[in-house]
Amino acid sequence: MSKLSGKKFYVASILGLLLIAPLLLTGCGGSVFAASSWPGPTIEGSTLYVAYGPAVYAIDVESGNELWRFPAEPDRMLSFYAPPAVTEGGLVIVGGYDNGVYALDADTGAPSWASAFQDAKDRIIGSPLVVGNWVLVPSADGRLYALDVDSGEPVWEKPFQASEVPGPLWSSPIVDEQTIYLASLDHHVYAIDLSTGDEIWRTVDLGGAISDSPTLSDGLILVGTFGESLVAIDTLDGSVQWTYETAGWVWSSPVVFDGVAYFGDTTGIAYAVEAENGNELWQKTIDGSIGASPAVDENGVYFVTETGVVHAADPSSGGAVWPNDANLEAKLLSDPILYNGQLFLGAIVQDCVVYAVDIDSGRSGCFFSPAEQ
Amino acid sequence: MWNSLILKPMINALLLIYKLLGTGPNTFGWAIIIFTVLVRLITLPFTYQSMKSSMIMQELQGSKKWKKLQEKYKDDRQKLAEEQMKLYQEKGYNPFSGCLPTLLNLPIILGLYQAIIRTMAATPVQLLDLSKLIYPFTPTSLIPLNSTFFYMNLGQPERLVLPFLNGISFLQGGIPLLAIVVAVTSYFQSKLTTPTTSSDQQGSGMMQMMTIYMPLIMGYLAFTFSSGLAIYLVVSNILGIIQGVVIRRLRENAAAG
Repeated sequence: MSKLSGKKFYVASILGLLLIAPLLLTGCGGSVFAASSWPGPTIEGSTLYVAYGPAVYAIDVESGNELWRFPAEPDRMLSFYAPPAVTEGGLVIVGGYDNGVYALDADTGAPSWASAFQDAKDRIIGSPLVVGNWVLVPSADGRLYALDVDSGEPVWEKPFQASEVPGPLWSSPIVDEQTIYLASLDHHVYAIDLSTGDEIWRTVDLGGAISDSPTLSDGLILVGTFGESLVAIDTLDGSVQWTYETAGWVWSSPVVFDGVAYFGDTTGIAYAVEAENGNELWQKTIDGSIGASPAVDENGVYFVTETGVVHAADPSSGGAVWPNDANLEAKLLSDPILYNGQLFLGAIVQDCVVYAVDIDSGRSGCFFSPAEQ
Repeated sequence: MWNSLILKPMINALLLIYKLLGTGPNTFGWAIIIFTVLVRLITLPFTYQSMKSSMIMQELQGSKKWKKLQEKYKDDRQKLAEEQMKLYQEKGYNPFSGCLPTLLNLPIILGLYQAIIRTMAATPVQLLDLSKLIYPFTPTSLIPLNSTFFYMNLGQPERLVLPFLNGISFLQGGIPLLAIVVAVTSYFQSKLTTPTTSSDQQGSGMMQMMTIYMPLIMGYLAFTFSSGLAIYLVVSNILGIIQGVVIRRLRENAAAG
């Protein structure tokens, strides 16, 4: 105190605090430096496409070699997280956080449309869906866009918001014959005429936001909600058929296999319920929040968690299939993809974008890490 | 620790106020304003203490005794500091007490910025994180929040777009009205809460510098970060000015009486 009087100390302290405040705000806010979402992987043929951060990558699924990336050089305006959709004609359709939709040549990654579709007013977080000659694009601006797949020109666009609750569309729609089923963060599911975009019906408020796509199962649509439930809806009129209460938010879509719906919640509980009536078959706690749909085959239900755990459960009993869970020390929030006896997992971690796990042994390793440009 | 003590209480308080107000458009903005009033009321004892210290300091610096000390020990700064310290103790002035409101305000600003961004949850990672920050008794049906407040999106920096200014290139993105209001109100609040009279040239210069720099930095924060934070700063500054005027009047009346 003898060298720095009380008043000067006061001034210096406040100036110091104010000068570091912007750094603390950005650094502690977690919004500037952290990833906004997780990798979006898709496998088509023998190519794995992954949208993650500054690029969309095409990777040979056998060797793990990068075939191309878009854009070739990083562009700070572009970032991608939604799993790309691949057309029969060899286009990779991907939506970006710049609100744009891009069509890329599946062999080279070169842009195919004359220009990207830029009409959306907010980010493309959900994956586009290719239906015949159209591509359906959900946007966080609350609108669903139908585009011509060859040109990217809009065919129709419709807003979907049932109430004062904001209605960003974060998930891919699904299509059954001529009807689109679309889930919204505004707590509703919509049935929409594919040819016109007109609403056929909407559900009542389901008690919480719906962040992932609906799942079709024998005349029912199953959706997980932030209202801590899995809800079954009649495809004919949108009426609620049954509700299964959970312990936490159901972030991701259930996967139906042999009449059983498998899903997890944000408290880390995995569930198996009968899709027809919602009767519980089993539930078990796994280490870490479950934000992804499981992958399922006749031998196992493969759950991944935010703490990096990969757990294989017996489909009928829920018992562990592997002696020990795989632990990847990465945030696993992307839906795992089963391909040729391996699980491909998009990961949020410093040095690996896609992990591969052998489903027989549970052994794991980094499959793809993008080379620096 | 940070999440438990600062972030979770703030997020849940904001959500519950939002729920009480009815969850429609503009509601989250009003929730921030009510939250700010509550914070100001909770920190009122510290603000009062700080204002009191500031006024004692001003009285001290204007006193004959202070000036005599300055004259007597003008060649021995260490001795001068020691004697000034004795005088502080005699008058019940704590040189650190002035820092306290700012020290208290900083975690509130940091916490509120994070709380606003996280409750707005514009990205999947933010929304998933939010699920871990909500108390069991806070209704999850509130999610997602309506982020509009009149012409603003509370998760984005504020700009007032006026069509007749479209011809002016640097104003095409809109006027940062709240950032300007934050800077102006911060200036008046600084003037009210920082000691002004000083016989110490260097100290006085630093004080004047601070009353200029602090509003500029606050204005910069409001310009750069979400408009929800700017609303907090504006309301907090206005309440700070009102508190300052009232406390000053009360003390002057007490001294006169």
